[in-house]
Amino acid sequence: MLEFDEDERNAQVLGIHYAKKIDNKLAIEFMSSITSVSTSEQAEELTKAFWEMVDLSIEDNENDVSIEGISDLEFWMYKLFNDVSGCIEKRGFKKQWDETTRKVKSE
Amino acid sequence: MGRNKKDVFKNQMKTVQNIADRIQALIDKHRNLNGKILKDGKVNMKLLGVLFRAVVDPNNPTLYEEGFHGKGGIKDGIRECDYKFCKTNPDWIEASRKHGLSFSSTTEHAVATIEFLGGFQKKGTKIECAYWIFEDSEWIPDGMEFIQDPKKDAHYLLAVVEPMLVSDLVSKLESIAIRMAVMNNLPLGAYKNA
Repeated sequence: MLEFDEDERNAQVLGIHYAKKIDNKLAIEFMSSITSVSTSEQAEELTKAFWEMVDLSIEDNENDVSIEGISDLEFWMYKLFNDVSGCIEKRGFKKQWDETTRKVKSE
Repeated sequence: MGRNKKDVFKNQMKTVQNIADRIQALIDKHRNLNGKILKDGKVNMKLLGVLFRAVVDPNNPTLYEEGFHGKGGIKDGIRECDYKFCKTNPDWIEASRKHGLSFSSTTEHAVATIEFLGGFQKKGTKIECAYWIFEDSEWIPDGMEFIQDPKKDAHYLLAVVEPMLVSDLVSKLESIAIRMAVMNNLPLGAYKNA
């Protein structure tokens, strides 16, 4: 389960915000610390969803958009990148993270 | 969705590969895994050997220039997101093992970080890879420590573990920057030609 302590709350706020924006139920529940990654299919779906979320955050960052008072999207999304990729890896799905990331980037 | 920036260095793959090769060569030369990286909860820097850090131009390896630090607060080159500023006296940094400058221990994480941060930069912004070799010295300024991110093994935080004045932290970060080297012959331009 991806969990956030008080110091990381902004990363979770952004995670939930962008997961809702792409309307991905698994990503919303994952970012909300409701569900974990249990299958390779889930790991692939979450990896793909995460990179869609990053794309949206880059656009917001360019347009000086703040999300719930959070303006430093670059910093908090990088934290989320470490949290999400680390969680997927520790659940045993590093291969799925790497392969899906490569695939998404080459599209 | 608008422009796809995940392929931020799409047309600079040779440079990315060169950076990856340089990072791996430094790891091969300086890392010694014949021992526990973590001893009594502390990272053994001599065994870890070398760590890497993405540097966005015109920042130096440890301190930021205002206007090139992201969108959060900054004081004397230190981003407010990186260290825990005391709320009642912003001249002080509180001790926190959950805050600190980010470093990478693997080629994969170092390159992924450069690519990730590259996506957030203005077109043409240069991004370089800096590194800190610990082979002959485990020197880290007093009151500071490298902490392995419990959520991501390849990610380390250069944390403040004893309260200190902001001015003292600036001096310590300056002295660290002097010890770090930058692969400045391998600059990447953020989504240049992408």
